[in-house]
Amino acid sequence: MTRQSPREFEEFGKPISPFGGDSPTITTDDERLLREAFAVNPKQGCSLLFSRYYDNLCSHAIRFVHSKEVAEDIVSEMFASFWQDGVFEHINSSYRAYLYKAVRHRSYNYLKWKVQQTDSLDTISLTTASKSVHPDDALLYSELHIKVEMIIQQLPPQCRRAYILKRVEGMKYDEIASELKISIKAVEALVSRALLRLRTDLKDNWFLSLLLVPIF
Amino acid sequence: MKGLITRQFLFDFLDGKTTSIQRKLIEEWIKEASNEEMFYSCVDEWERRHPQFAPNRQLAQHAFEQLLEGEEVPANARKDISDRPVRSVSPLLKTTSFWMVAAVGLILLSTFVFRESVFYKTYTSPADQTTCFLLKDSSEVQLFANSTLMVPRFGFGREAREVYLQGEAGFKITHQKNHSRFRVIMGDGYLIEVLGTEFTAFSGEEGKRVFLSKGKVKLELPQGKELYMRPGSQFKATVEGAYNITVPKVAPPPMYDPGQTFYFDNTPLTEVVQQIENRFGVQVKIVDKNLLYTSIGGIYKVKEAEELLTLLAALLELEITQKSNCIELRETKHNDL
Repeated sequence: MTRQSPREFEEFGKPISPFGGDSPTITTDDERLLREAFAVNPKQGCSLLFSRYYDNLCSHAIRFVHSKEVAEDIVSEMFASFWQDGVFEHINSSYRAYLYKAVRHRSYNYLKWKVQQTDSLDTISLTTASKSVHPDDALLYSELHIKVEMIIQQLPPQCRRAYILKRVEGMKYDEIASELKISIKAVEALVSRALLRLRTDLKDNWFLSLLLVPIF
Repeated sequence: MKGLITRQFLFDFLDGKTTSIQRKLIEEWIKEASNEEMFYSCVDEWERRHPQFAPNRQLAQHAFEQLLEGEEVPANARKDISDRPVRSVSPLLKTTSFWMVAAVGLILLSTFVFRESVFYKTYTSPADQTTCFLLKDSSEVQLFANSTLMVPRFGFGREAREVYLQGEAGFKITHQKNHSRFRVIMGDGYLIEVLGTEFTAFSGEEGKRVFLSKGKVKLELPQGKELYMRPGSQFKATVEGAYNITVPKVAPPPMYDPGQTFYFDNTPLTEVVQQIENRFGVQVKIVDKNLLYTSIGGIYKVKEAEELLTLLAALLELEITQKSNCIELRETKHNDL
């Protein structure tokens, strides 16, 4: 994955504060100690957050981007920006909520960027859907990966296997061909069939189609 | 509506098992900020229960720690030095005999200048690490953080085995057949002499300290004084030279110890607890059976068992109860809304 400066994601990376200015800071109690760690030593705080959430966030990201490498990159870059840009100083939700939102937005942005790979990431105009903070944003993102998963599950077994090896494991067509003991042409056909299925099945949902249709 | 949305309800949603009517409920519910927090808390727990793959966190964490320390090496940091002008060599420098003489001279000179480092091997422990090693006579040394020990490079002499200590180290000295003495030179006229014992010694700006766990130790003090120590006793001397001997109830923790480093890589909580017990000598009991299957990763640097347990409590949502004879861990009960 091309390395992007964290700034490009800023629009999404900023802690979203749907809580309004007048409501008190939301502090869930289980993060109290993390907050205390941050107050004393932000480095240690970041390090703790990293070890606590890295694995889970990677698992979350891969549901969207379907690639191990990209998922790990997204999470690592998010943490890098969290520290380097001092994002951790301006969190007014729980760290957990912020981290998950940021990873979701970054995953989404990655997909969008895949769509328009010819443009640089800066020039991508943000869609209205992503700009406005929708109250059920949280649900839409979850439904996005549920839907994708469902479609993949319904694929014929061989087709699903080829798709997973290609996208998730990042294998080359000829490697997949030798693993599945079929021709390269057949692998290509299987993968494109999976992509076509994704495209047609996702079209109906406005939120999903908005970002996914051109990719697959 | 409050009672309707439970954590299980949300897990079902994440699994794609809710109906569109139930979704409407969540949609209303999540508008409340505290509910959104609970939603993400569920997402996190759900991801923990359903790992998708095994990311290489060790590698990623290492890179992140470096970034935190600001150790990122800019790409243009390495400069090419090959474009220096090549000097012409004068005829004298070309003759072989000149180089022979120069080499011999240089070796003699550097042997003299660096005689310490030639005849002694220096072991150093970095700021946050304890180094353990075996000496040539099979004695064990545990060199604590920020400490230096100089050991004869070519083996110990017949008379006595001598090492120089700056900082703090634990020794397990073997008794030799020829009863050769082992001497730790601590500077400022302090010297420890033993035959075969276990002790820790400290020599630093704060003064000197010796703690004897086993065997017998002879201490040589400035101005030719001598004294013998018994097992379990501790010798302390200030910089001014005042000293005393006490018998502490427990072995004193290392002076320079910045904390113990725990390294967990998807380590089950039972094993984590075992390590805490071994290193800190405390009793920890896992009360909830569920917790037996929890595992944890990461690198933790702590000074006390309590400190580590508090961190674990924050990460795993545990409750810690200090009982008279042990520490109990149990799951924090989630009060479903």
